[in-house]
Amino acid sequence: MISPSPAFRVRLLAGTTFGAAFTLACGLAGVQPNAPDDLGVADRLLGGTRQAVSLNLFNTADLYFHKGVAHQHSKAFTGRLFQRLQAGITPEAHAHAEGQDSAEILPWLKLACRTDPHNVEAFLVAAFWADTGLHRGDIADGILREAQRLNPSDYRIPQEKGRYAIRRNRLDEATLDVSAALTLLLQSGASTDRQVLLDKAELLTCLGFLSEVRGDSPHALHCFKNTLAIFPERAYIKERVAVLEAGQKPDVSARSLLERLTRQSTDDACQDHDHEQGHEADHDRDGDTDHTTRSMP
Amino acid sequence: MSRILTLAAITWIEMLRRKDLYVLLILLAALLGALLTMNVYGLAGVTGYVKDTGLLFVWLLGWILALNTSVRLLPDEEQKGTLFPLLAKPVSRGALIVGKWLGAWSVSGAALLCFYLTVGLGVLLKGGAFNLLILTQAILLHLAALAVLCSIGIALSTRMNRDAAAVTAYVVTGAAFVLMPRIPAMLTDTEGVAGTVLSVLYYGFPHFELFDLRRRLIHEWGCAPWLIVAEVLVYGALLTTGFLALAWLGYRKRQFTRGAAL
Repeated sequence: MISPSPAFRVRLLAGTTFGAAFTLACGLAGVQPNAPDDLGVADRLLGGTRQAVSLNLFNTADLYFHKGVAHQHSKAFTGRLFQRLQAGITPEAHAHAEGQDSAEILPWLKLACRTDPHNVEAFLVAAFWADTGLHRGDIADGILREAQRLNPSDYRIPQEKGRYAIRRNRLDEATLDVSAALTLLLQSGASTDRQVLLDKAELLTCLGFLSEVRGDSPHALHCFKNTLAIFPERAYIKERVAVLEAGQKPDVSARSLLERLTRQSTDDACQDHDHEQGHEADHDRDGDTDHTTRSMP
Repeated sequence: MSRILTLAAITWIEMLRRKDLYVLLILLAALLGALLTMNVYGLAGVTGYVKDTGLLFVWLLGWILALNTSVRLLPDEEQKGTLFPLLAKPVSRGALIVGKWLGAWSVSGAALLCFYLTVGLGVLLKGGAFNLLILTQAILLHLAALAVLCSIGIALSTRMNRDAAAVTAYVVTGAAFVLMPRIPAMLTDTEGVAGTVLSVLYYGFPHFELFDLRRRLIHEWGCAPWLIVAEVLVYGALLTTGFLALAWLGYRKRQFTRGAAL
């Protein structure tokens, strides 16, 4: 029997190692997540940079919301010469853009949306300021239409459209939007994210009140019970379920509760925002509030 | 004094011959043109983003022009050999440094005024305007910042060649602008050697953020107190004098050899 030469052994070992590495590489390549098909050229070229730039533009919008005053951080020392001069040069007072001033926020949000079309939050905040700050519902509708075109499977957009429709007293349209949002949310799968749970509860509550307005008490009861399945501690929903099950008429009308639920103003946004800045940990800890506002990040 | 002015005038002639200023102006105009064409949901009178981006570029271009001009002047004279007839005039080393600084500062300052004018026109075209009093304060402080930048450029160019001086000046001034205002917050969770280094940097490096009135100008917060503005101007004058003194210390006894590579 002819024994292989040492050189042949080395070549055989190298070939086998290469084959194993090649096979492993092919296998690993096979489990790599594929890039979504809807990525544009800019997405492929810039990737995560777009999101970073978009976030930065979004933060600039926040800076404009505070009239150019950045969030204050705690400092190791205060009152030194340079800080005293700085305080005189750079404004530090707490202020918010109101009325027509809020229009100055919109260019940054528009740029944030352009930079990253999947930054849904930027679209929603832009729509909020157009509607609430400038009272330009037409612009807000346009922004949400564009957002939905670019992000057809995101539930937050029909949810926001539903809120606007309720505030404008277009309840049939609101029912369609809220139902669509709920369907999209359920399609996205079970989530333990707190914001998603809050949104789901809000959608169910809205749908319940909308059903009540239409006179469809059984469906309203179904929605309220689903809300309680998420947040069992919501006392006013419990009371409402008890009243509806007893076949009585509730003291507070569904319409007024709907209005309260979707009421948004710049003041609300400011309070909500400041609250988040100062007491993030306390915010909505017990889940017993479902008053929704669209504030800056 | 006349020698200093003559040296400054030479810098002016050289700058007008070079294309730097025109290129930067065209860049700024192109940027403003792009900003002006942006349609913000059909809303009229939205000018904050034009002011903000325009003024940011005024600062960036002013910074580039001031440093590029100042770091080049002395090494170029040495490289071309024109330094020898200049020093034989006789012109003292101190006068040479002050003359070169004055030339760099006045050229950068004039360019800065052109930049502000361009941005002002852009904002006017978009239907907005600057508050003239705050604008005056902003330009005054910006000119003071340019004086400091030019003196840093001159000081570094007395000890290094042109490219090394430029890179060092960009790194030092850029870091100073970004880092200095954040140090008090950074010190809250920094201890030991790092904390000491940050404290030294805080008191040792120039505070360029004190010369920046953009936030007041864009968001119309009203004028800064004039006393504060005066104090910042004095601070700028002290920094400029200090860096020019450092430049003079490095230059006064320096030996030059004709044809020596820098």
